[in-house]
Amino acid sequence: MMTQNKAINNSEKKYKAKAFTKSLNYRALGKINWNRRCILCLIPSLLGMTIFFFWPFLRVLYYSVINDQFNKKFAGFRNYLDTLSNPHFQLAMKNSLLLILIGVPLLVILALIISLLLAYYLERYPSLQDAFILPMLIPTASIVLIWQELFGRFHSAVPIYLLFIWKNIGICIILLTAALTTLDKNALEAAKIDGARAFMLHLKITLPMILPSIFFTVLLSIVNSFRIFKESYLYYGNKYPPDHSYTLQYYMNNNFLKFNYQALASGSILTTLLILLIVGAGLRLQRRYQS
Amino acid sequence: MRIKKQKKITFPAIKATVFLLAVVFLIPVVLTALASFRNGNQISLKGYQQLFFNCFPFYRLFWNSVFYSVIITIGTVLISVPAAFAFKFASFKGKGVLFVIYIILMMMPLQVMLLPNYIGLRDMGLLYKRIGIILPLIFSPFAVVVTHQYMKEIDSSVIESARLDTNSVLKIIYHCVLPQIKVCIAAVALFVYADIWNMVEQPMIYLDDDRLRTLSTFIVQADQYDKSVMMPASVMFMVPVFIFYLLFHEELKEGLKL
Repeated sequence: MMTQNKAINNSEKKYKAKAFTKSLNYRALGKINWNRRCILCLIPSLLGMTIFFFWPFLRVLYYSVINDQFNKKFAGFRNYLDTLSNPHFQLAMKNSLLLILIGVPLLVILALIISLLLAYYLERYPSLQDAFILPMLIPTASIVLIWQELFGRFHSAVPIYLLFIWKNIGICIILLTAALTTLDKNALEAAKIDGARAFMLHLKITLPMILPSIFFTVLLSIVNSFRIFKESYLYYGNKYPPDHSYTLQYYMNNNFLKFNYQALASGSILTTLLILLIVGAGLRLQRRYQS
Repeated sequence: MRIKKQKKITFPAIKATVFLLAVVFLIPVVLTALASFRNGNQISLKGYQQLFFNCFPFYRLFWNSVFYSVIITIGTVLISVPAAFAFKFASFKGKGVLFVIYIILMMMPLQVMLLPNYIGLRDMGLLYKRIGIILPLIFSPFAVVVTHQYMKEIDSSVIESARLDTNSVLKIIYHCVLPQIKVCIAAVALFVYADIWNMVEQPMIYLDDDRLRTLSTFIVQADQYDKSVMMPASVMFMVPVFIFYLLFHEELKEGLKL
């Protein structure tokens, strides 16, 4: 009797459980609307971002305002002041800003000239473009030995600047060419036939039209200038770089190797602020121009 | 009259200058290739012979590079296409802000993210393991932003009509969206592949075992090995990316619109 009761009870439970899962399925597949299921597609990416970027970043923020890992007392802005007054940090900041002020304009102007020439005078040789795009994909480690042989005699930052231009001109040309090809070509063809002076006149009209793309190219190049560390690191090998090539990333890397989390954390936050400032100013300038 | 004269002079000159510049940009690649056949003052294949038959770490490191690049590229595409789709077709509070955050993260230099990533990996016990290299790199904000930008051209009415046939988001992405963004995916995949193939910092910092590291770190530590194998190793390191470029360069030029 008891066992029979139990059996009935069990089957009832099973039935209920089945109905419950069914309703869940129904809810999961049917009721949750299209929009929510679209949002679900974002979840994996968002989860990874949270685990590997957002959350650790908050912890870095925390590290930047405490004394040290063992004595977790609030230190206010002392780490930041220490970092800002550190001569290595100042040198690194100076070199990184120099690369932005000198390297980036050189890169973008060269890329602009080449894209214009490729788009209007040399459209019959599309493979010429490949010569400029290919370096972007070639791994730096594989050309760094030849770079050392070619430029080893230079005792300035010139080899690194050249490496920066060599490496990044590809993406600039891709972006600028994409903008140029959307423009009306016929008018320019006409200008070309009319002669060089007309061509220059036409440039005055086209350049403002692709200004948003030029803007974005500049912004991206600034960001890429922060990424030149790998190239510089490979070029100088495991050695300490000369003063003129000591950039922010070297500062970070050295503090990382020394496990100096406070210096590293405040340096990271300061660099982040600098980038936010540049990106924000760039976007605002662009918006102002467009309106 | 004067204008005509000017034109006559400038056109071939412009052509020649661009051709010359193109050659200059290719010189490092060509010189590396040439130098790999140099042994002292004579041409020989001795470097390659050394590399293929006497330098056993090479195969392992090459395999590691292939392994990381392929896995991370596939993972990146699998994660970012649905995410970009969500950014385009879903509507929720804070979408715009979240997208701006993705753009900012895309622009962060690696050195800023090194410490956050290191701390995250350490706390999850993933440090010094292969998975610790792979996981953080799969979540690439760059791939999400670029794919989203390319999806702008997709007509939402196509999606609407597809919804009459199926209710599955993944099916719609697979059948309706993927064919339209093939070019972009090829470009992103090529870009990510080249980037991972070229990575140096992550294997140096997140791994302590040379056996798990990549070919790029091998060339950094060149002084530990026989000098004659370095140039051939450099060339072998370029070859896969070069082949991929030959196969997909059209996609690369068209797929990266920002």
